[in-house]
Amino acid sequence: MAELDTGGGGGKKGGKPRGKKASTRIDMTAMVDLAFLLLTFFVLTTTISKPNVMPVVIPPKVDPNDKEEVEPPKVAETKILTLILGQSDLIYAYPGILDPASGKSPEVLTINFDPKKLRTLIKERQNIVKGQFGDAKELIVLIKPLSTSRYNNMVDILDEMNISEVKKYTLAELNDNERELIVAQKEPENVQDIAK
Amino acid sequence: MTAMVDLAFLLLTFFMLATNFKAEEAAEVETPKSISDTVIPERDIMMITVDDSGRVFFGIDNRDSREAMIKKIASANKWTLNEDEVKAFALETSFGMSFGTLKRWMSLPPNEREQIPQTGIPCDTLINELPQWLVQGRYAHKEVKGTDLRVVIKADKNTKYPAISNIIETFRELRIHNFALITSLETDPRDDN
Repeated sequence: MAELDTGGGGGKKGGKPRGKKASTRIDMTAMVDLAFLLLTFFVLTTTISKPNVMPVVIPPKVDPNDKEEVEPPKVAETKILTLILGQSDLIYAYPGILDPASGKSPEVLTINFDPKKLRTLIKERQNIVKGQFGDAKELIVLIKPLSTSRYNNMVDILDEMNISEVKKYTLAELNDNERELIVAQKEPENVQDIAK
Repeated sequence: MTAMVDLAFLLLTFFMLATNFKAEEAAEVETPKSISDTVIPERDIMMITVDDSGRVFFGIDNRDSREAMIKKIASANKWTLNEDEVKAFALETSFGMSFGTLKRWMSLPPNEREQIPQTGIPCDTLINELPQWLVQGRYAHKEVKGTDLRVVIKADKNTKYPAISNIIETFRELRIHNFALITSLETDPRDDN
Protein backbone atom coordinates (compact mmCIF):
# COMPACT_ATOMS: atom_id res chain seq x y z
CA MET A 1 0.00 0.00 0.00
CA ALA A 2 1.07 3.61 -0.10
CA GLU A 3 4.12 4.38 1.86
CA LEU A 4 6.01 7.39 2.88
CA ASP A 5 9.70 7.09 2.47
CA THR A 6 11.47 9.53 4.74
CA GLY A 7 15.09 9.16 5.05
CA GLY A 8 16.27 6.43 2.74
CA GLY A 9 16.56 9.05 -0.03
CA GLY A 10 19.07 11.14 1.82
CA GLY A 11 21.68 8.53 1.36
CA LYS A 12 21.45 8.62 -2.42
CA LYS A 13 22.72 12.11 -3.09
CA GLY A 14 26.22 11.37 -4.15
CA GLY A 15 29.42 13.05 -3.17
CA LYS A 16 29.05 14.60 0.16
CA PRO A 17 29.57 12.34 3.04
CA ARG A 18 26.34 11.91 4.96
CA GLY A 19 25.70 10.34 8.28
CA LYS A 20 23.80 7.06 8.22
CA LYS A 21 20.04 7.67 8.53
CA ALA A 22 17.74 4.87 9.39
CA SER A 23 15.12 4.66 6.63
CA THR A 24 11.64 4.86 8.04
CA ARG A 25 8.75 3.54 6.04
CA ILE A 26 5.25 4.46 7.21
CA ASP A 27 2.47 2.19 6.15
CA MET A 28 -0.57 4.41 5.55
CA THR A 29 -3.21 1.69 5.20
CA ALA A 30 -4.69 2.33 8.63
CA MET A 31 -5.01 6.05 8.08
CA VAL A 32 -6.71 5.60 4.74
CA ASP A 33 -9.12 3.09 6.27
CA LEU A 34 -10.03 5.59 8.96
CA ALA A 35 -10.48 8.33 6.42
CA PHE A 36 -12.91 6.23 4.40
CA LEU A 37 -14.78 5.22 7.52
CA LEU A 38 -15.29 8.82 8.57
CA LEU A 39 -16.24 9.73 5.04
CA THR A 40 -18.89 7.01 4.86
CA PHE A 41 -20.20 8.13 8.23
CA PHE A 42 -20.69 11.72 7.15
CA VAL A 43 -22.17 10.76 3.81
CA LEU A 44 -24.78 8.63 5.54
CA THR A 45 -25.64 11.02 8.38
CA THR A 46 -26.64 13.80 6.02
CA THR A 47 -29.44 11.67 4.61
CA ILE A 48 -30.89 10.58 7.96
CA SER A 49 -31.48 14.02 9.45
CA LYS A 50 -34.47 15.03 7.30
CA PRO A 51 -37.43 15.26 9.67
CA ASN A 52 -40.89 14.19 8.58
CA VAL A 53 -44.11 16.04 9.21
CA MET A 54 -47.56 14.86 10.10
CA PRO A 55 -50.27 17.24 8.92
CA VAL A 56 -53.02 18.09 11.40
CA VAL A 57 -56.33 19.81 10.79
CA ILE A 58 -58.32 21.20 13.71
CA PRO A 59 -61.97 22.20 13.66
CA PRO A 60 -62.74 25.90 13.97
CA LYS A 61 -63.51 27.42 17.32
CA VAL A 62 -66.94 26.81 18.76
CA ASP A 63 -68.75 30.09 19.27
CA PRO A 64 -69.00 30.58 23.05
CA ASN A 65 -72.54 31.91 22.69
CA ASP A 66 -73.52 28.55 21.31
CA LYS A 67 -73.96 26.34 24.34
CA GLU A 68 -74.03 22.99 22.57
CA GLU A 69 -71.66 20.15 23.35
CA VAL A 70 -68.65 19.60 21.14
CA GLU A 71 -70.05 16.31 19.81
CA PRO A 72 -72.34 16.90 16.83
CA PRO A 73 -75.80 16.43 18.31
CA LYS A 74 -77.53 14.53 15.54
CA VAL A 75 -75.15 11.60 15.23
CA ALA A 76 -76.14 8.04 16.03
CA GLU A 77 -74.49 7.10 19.31
CA THR A 78 -73.15 3.78 18.18
CA LYS A 79 -70.96 5.50 15.61
CA ILE A 80 -68.92 7.20 18.32
CA LEU A 81 -65.86 5.84 20.04
CA THR A 82 -64.22 7.99 22.69
CA LEU A 83 -60.57 7.61 23.60
CA ILE A 84 -59.42 9.46 26.69
CA LEU A 85 -55.63 9.64 26.96
CA GLY A 86 -54.42 9.49 30.52
CA GLN A 87 -51.16 9.29 32.41
CA SER A 88 -48.58 6.54 32.02
CA ASP A 89 -49.69 5.91 28.43
CA LEU A 90 -53.13 4.63 29.41
CA ILE A 91 -56.25 5.01 27.32
CA TYR A 92 -59.79 4.89 28.66
CA ALA A 93 -62.03 3.88 25.80
CA TYR A 94 -65.78 3.61 25.58
CA PRO A 95 -68.29 3.47 22.74
CA GLY A 96 -71.30 5.70 22.46
CA ILE A 97 -72.28 8.40 24.89
CA LEU A 98 -71.67 8.49 28.61
CA ASP A 99 -74.70 9.79 30.45
CA PRO A 100 -75.29 8.24 33.91
CA ALA A 101 -78.36 10.40 34.43
CA SER A 102 -80.27 8.76 31.62
CA GLY A 103 -78.92 5.35 32.47
CA LYS A 104 -76.50 5.02 29.60
CA SER A 105 -73.26 3.64 30.93
CA PRO A 106 -71.23 1.83 28.32
CA GLU A 107 -68.36 -0.33 29.43
CA VAL A 108 -65.15 1.58 29.84
CA LEU A 109 -62.09 -0.30 28.74
CA THR A 110 -58.67 0.64 30.08
CA ILE A 111 -55.98 -0.18 27.57
CA ASN A 112 -52.55 0.99 26.57
CA PHE A 113 -50.95 1.68 23.21
CA ASP A 114 -50.15 -1.96 22.50
CA PRO A 115 -51.34 -2.54 18.93
CA LYS A 116 -52.90 -5.85 19.93
CA LYS A 117 -55.22 -3.93 22.22
CA LEU A 118 -55.70 -0.54 20.63
CA ARG A 119 -55.79 -1.59 17.02
CA THR A 120 -58.06 -4.56 17.73
CA LEU A 121 -60.44 -2.31 19.64
CA ILE A 122 -60.65 0.12 16.76
CA LYS A 123 -61.07 -2.72 14.28
CA GLU A 124 -63.90 -4.20 16.37
CA ARG A 125 -65.64 -0.89 16.50
CA GLN A 126 -65.21 -0.42 12.76
CA ASN A 127 -66.76 -3.83 12.14
CA ILE A 128 -69.72 -3.03 14.37
CA VAL A 129 -70.27 0.27 12.59
CA LYS A 130 -69.93 -1.46 9.25
CA GLY A 131 -72.53 -4.02 10.27
CA GLN A 132 -74.99 -1.36 11.39
CA PHE A 133 -74.41 1.39 8.88
CA GLY A 134 -72.80 -0.38 5.95
CA ASP A 135 -69.49 1.49 5.96
CA ALA A 136 -66.61 1.24 8.40
CA LYS A 137 -65.68 4.80 7.56
CA GLU A 138 -68.73 6.03 9.46
CA LEU A 139 -66.89 5.48 12.73
CA ILE A 140 -66.24 8.73 14.57
CA VAL A 141 -63.43 8.78 17.09
CA LEU A 142 -63.26 11.48 19.73
CA ILE A 143 -59.78 11.91 21.16
CA LYS A 144 -59.63 13.60 24.52
CA PRO A 145 -56.16 13.96 25.98
CA LEU A 146 -55.93 14.66 29.70
CA SER A 147 -53.45 17.13 31.08
CA THR A 148 -51.46 14.23 32.52
CA SER A 149 -50.84 12.67 29.14
CA ARG A 150 -47.71 13.16 27.05
CA TYR A 151 -47.45 14.71 23.60
CA ASN A 152 -46.20 11.32 22.42
CA ASN A 153 -49.62 9.83 23.29
CA MET A 154 -51.40 12.37 21.14
CA VAL A 155 -49.09 11.76 18.17
CA ASP A 156 -49.44 7.98 18.57
CA ILE A 157 -53.22 8.23 18.53
CA LEU A 158 -53.23 10.46 15.44
CA ASP A 159 -50.84 7.99 13.86
CA GLU A 160 -53.16 5.13 14.79
CA MET A 161 -56.00 6.94 13.05
CA ASN A 162 -53.93 6.92 9.89
CA ILE A 163 -52.89 3.29 10.26
CA SER A 164 -56.42 2.06 10.98
CA GLU A 165 -57.82 4.32 8.27
CA VAL A 166 -60.27 6.10 10.52
CA LYS A 167 -61.47 9.03 8.47
CA LYS A 168 -63.54 10.89 11.03
CA TYR A 169 -61.77 11.87 14.19
CA THR A 170 -61.24 14.97 16.21
CA LEU A 171 -59.48 16.31 19.28
CA ALA A 172 -62.04 17.35 21.83
CA GLU A 173 -62.54 18.46 25.42
CA LEU A 174 -63.75 16.28 28.27
CA ASN A 175 -67.35 16.74 29.26
CA ASP A 176 -68.57 16.69 32.86
CA ASN A 177 -69.69 13.07 32.88
CA GLU A 178 -66.30 11.97 31.73
CA ARG A 179 -64.61 14.05 34.37
CA GLU A 180 -66.36 12.08 37.11
CA LEU A 181 -65.47 8.87 35.36
CA ILE A 182 -61.82 9.80 35.25
CA VAL A 183 -61.69 10.66 38.93
CA ALA A 184 -63.07 7.24 39.66
CA GLN A 185 -60.64 5.49 37.34
CA LYS A 186 -57.45 7.22 38.27
CA GLU A 187 -55.48 4.48 39.89
CA PRO A 188 -52.25 2.87 39.17
CA GLU A 189 -53.63 -0.47 40.14
CA ASN A 190 -55.13 -0.59 36.67
CA VAL A 191 -51.65 -0.50 35.23
CA GLN A 192 -50.83 -4.00 36.48
CA ASP A 193 -53.98 -5.42 34.90
CA ILE A 194 -53.38 -4.13 31.43
CA ALA A 195 -49.64 -4.51 31.42
CA LYS A 196 -50.05 -8.24 30.80
CA MET B 1 -2.10 5.98 -3.95
CA THR B 2 -1.36 9.30 -2.35
CA ALA B 3 -3.70 10.89 -4.84
CA MET B 4 -6.52 8.70 -3.63
CA VAL B 5 -5.77 9.58 -0.04
CA ASP B 6 -5.81 13.27 -0.93
CA LEU B 7 -9.20 12.86 -2.59
CA ALA B 8 -10.55 10.97 0.40
CA PHE B 9 -9.55 13.75 2.76
CA LEU B 10 -10.99 16.36 0.47
CA LEU B 11 -14.36 14.63 0.36
CA LEU B 12 -14.24 14.13 4.09
CA THR B 13 -13.64 17.79 4.75
CA PHE B 14 -16.43 18.72 2.39
CA PHE B 15 -18.99 16.56 4.14
CA MET B 16 -17.84 17.64 7.56
CA LEU B 17 -18.47 21.22 6.60
CA ALA B 18 -21.64 20.53 4.61
CA THR B 19 -23.40 18.93 7.57
CA ASN B 20 -22.86 21.98 9.70
CA PHE B 21 -25.38 24.06 7.80
CA LYS B 22 -28.17 22.99 10.20
CA ALA B 23 -28.91 25.88 12.53
CA GLU B 24 -27.99 25.84 16.18
CA GLU B 25 -31.12 24.88 18.06
CA ALA B 26 -32.18 26.59 21.19
CA ALA B 27 -33.33 23.38 22.84
CA GLU B 28 -32.79 19.67 22.43
CA VAL B 29 -35.99 17.96 21.37
CA GLU B 30 -36.67 14.31 20.69
CA THR B 31 -39.72 14.11 18.46
CA PRO B 32 -42.21 11.25 18.66
CA LYS B 33 -42.37 8.63 15.92
CA SER B 34 -45.06 8.35 13.31
CA ILE B 35 -45.61 6.57 10.04
CA SER B 36 -46.14 9.87 8.24
CA ASP B 37 -43.65 10.20 5.45
CA THR B 38 -44.46 13.67 4.16
CA VAL B 39 -41.16 15.48 4.07
CA ILE B 40 -40.74 18.86 5.73
CA PRO B 41 -40.80 21.69 3.20
CA GLU B 42 -37.41 23.25 2.56
CA ARG B 43 -38.30 26.82 3.36
CA ASP B 44 -41.08 29.16 4.41
CA ILE B 45 -41.68 27.45 7.72
CA MET B 46 -42.56 28.95 11.05
CA MET B 47 -41.37 26.53 13.68
CA ILE B 48 -42.68 26.37 17.23
CA THR B 49 -40.37 24.21 19.31
CA VAL B 50 -41.47 22.88 22.70
CA ASP B 51 -39.08 21.07 24.98
CA ASP B 52 -40.06 18.51 27.57
CA SER B 53 -40.44 21.07 30.35
CA GLY B 54 -42.95 23.03 28.28
CA ARG B 55 -40.73 25.94 27.21
CA VAL B 56 -41.90 27.39 23.93
CA PHE B 57 -39.45 28.60 21.28
CA PHE B 58 -40.32 30.34 18.07
CA GLY B 59 -38.45 30.75 14.83
CA ILE B 60 -38.72 31.51 11.13
CA ASP B 61 -36.10 30.16 8.76
CA ASN B 62 -35.63 33.34 6.76
CA ARG B 63 -33.34 36.00 8.15
CA ASP B 64 -34.90 38.97 6.38
CA SER B 65 -38.30 37.91 7.62
CA ARG B 66 -36.97 37.79 11.15
CA GLU B 67 -35.66 41.32 10.79
CA ALA B 68 -38.96 42.57 9.47
CA MET B 69 -40.80 40.69 12.22
CA ILE B 70 -38.81 42.20 15.08
CA LYS B 71 -39.32 45.67 13.65
CA LYS B 72 -43.08 45.10 13.56
CA ILE B 73 -43.08 43.72 17.09
CA ALA B 74 -41.08 46.72 18.24
CA SER B 75 -43.51 49.19 16.74
CA ALA B 76 -46.53 47.25 18.06
CA ASN B 77 -45.11 47.32 21.60
CA LYS B 78 -43.68 50.80 21.33
CA TRP B 79 -40.04 49.86 21.73
CA THR B 80 -37.19 51.66 20.07
CA LEU B 81 -34.51 49.42 18.63
CA ASN B 82 -31.27 50.40 16.98
CA GLU B 83 -29.72 48.60 14.01
CA ASP B 84 -27.40 46.43 16.11
CA GLU B 85 -30.22 45.07 18.21
CA VAL B 86 -32.27 44.25 15.13
CA LYS B 87 -29.31 42.49 13.53
CA ALA B 88 -28.57 40.59 16.73
CA PHE B 89 -32.12 39.32 16.88
CA ALA B 90 -32.20 38.39 13.20
CA LEU B 91 -29.16 36.14 13.66
CA GLU B 92 -30.98 33.71 15.94
CA THR B 93 -33.02 31.16 14.03
CA SER B 94 -35.07 30.34 17.10
CA PHE B 95 -35.57 31.99 20.46
CA GLY B 96 -37.66 31.59 23.58
CA MET B 97 -38.00 34.66 25.70
CA SER B 98 -40.80 36.86 26.95
CA PHE B 99 -40.97 40.39 25.61
CA GLY B 100 -39.32 41.85 28.68
CA THR B 101 -36.43 39.40 28.66
CA LEU B 102 -36.02 39.81 24.92
CA LYS B 103 -35.71 43.55 25.17
CA ARG B 104 -33.02 43.15 27.78
CA TRP B 105 -31.29 40.46 25.76
CA MET B 106 -31.05 42.67 22.71
CA SER B 107 -29.58 45.58 24.61
CA LEU B 108 -26.74 43.53 26.07
CA PRO B 109 -23.35 43.20 24.39
CA PRO B 110 -22.85 39.86 22.59
CA ASN B 111 -20.74 38.13 25.20
CA GLU B 112 -23.26 38.80 27.95
CA ARG B 113 -26.22 37.51 25.98
CA GLU B 114 -25.53 33.87 26.79
CA GLN B 115 -26.02 34.67 30.45
CA ILE B 116 -29.73 35.22 30.05
CA PRO B 117 -31.60 31.94 30.39
CA GLN B 118 -34.20 31.33 27.73
CA THR B 119 -37.29 30.44 29.69
CA GLY B 120 -39.56 30.23 26.71
CA ILE B 121 -42.29 32.43 25.31
CA PRO B 122 -45.16 32.62 27.79
CA CYS B 123 -48.09 30.74 26.31
CA ASP B 124 -50.70 30.00 28.93
CA THR B 125 -54.09 31.24 30.00
CA LEU B 126 -52.62 34.14 32.00
CA ILE B 127 -50.10 35.57 29.57
CA ASN B 128 -49.93 34.56 25.97
CA GLU B 129 -47.36 36.31 23.81
CA LEU B 130 -47.42 33.72 21.05
CA PRO B 131 -50.24 35.28 19.00
CA GLN B 132 -48.23 38.47 18.43
CA TRP B 133 -45.23 36.52 17.16
CA LEU B 134 -47.41 34.37 14.89
CA VAL B 135 -49.27 37.30 13.40
CA GLN B 136 -46.28 39.61 12.93
CA GLY B 137 -44.21 36.73 11.63
CA ARG B 138 -46.79 36.01 8.94
CA TYR B 139 -47.06 39.63 7.87
CA ALA B 140 -43.31 40.11 7.86
CA HIS B 141 -42.69 37.05 5.72
CA LYS B 142 -45.47 38.02 3.32
CA GLU B 143 -43.85 41.42 2.90
CA VAL B 144 -40.35 40.08 2.45
CA LYS B 145 -40.98 37.02 0.31
CA GLY B 146 -44.57 37.24 -0.77
CA THR B 147 -45.38 33.67 0.26
CA ASP B 148 -47.29 32.23 3.17
CA LEU B 149 -45.59 30.50 6.02
CA ARG B 150 -46.42 26.96 7.02
CA VAL B 151 -46.84 26.50 10.74
CA VAL B 152 -45.07 23.55 12.25
CA ILE B 153 -44.80 22.25 15.82
CA LYS B 154 -41.70 20.41 16.94
CA ALA B 155 -42.25 19.09 20.43
CA ASP B 156 -40.51 16.58 22.61
CA LYS B 157 -42.26 13.25 23.05
CA ASN B 158 -42.38 13.76 26.82
CA THR B 159 -43.90 17.22 26.76
CA LYS B 160 -47.02 17.27 28.87
CA TYR B 161 -50.18 17.76 26.85
CA PRO B 162 -51.30 21.13 28.37
CA ALA B 163 -48.36 22.95 26.75
CA ILE B 164 -49.37 21.60 23.33
CA SER B 165 -53.04 22.22 24.02
CA ASN B 166 -52.32 25.91 24.73
CA ILE B 167 -50.51 26.24 21.43
CA ILE B 168 -53.32 24.54 19.51
CA GLU B 169 -55.88 26.79 21.21
CA THR B 170 -53.77 29.79 20.21
CA PHE B 171 -53.92 28.57 16.61
CA ARG B 172 -57.67 28.15 16.84
CA GLU B 173 -58.08 31.72 18.10
CA LEU B 174 -55.99 32.98 15.20
CA ARG B 175 -57.95 30.75 12.81
CA ILE B 176 -54.93 28.71 11.83
CA HIS B 177 -56.55 25.35 11.17
CA ASN B 178 -53.85 23.67 9.14
CA PHE B 179 -50.49 22.90 10.65
CA ALA B 180 -48.07 20.03 10.96
CA LEU B 181 -46.23 18.13 13.67
CA ILE B 182 -42.64 17.10 13.20
CA THR B 183 -42.08 13.40 13.76
CA SER B 184 -39.40 10.82 13.18
CA LEU B 185 -40.15 8.11 10.69
CA GLU B 186 -41.13 4.65 11.80
CA THR B 187 -42.11 1.75 9.61
CA ASP B 188 -45.78 1.39 8.76
CA PRO B 189 -47.07 -1.78 10.44
CA ARG B 190 -49.36 -2.33 7.47
CA ASP B 191 -46.28 -2.94 5.30
CA ASP B 192 -45.43 -6.04 7.28
CA ASN B 193 -48.36 -8.04 5.92
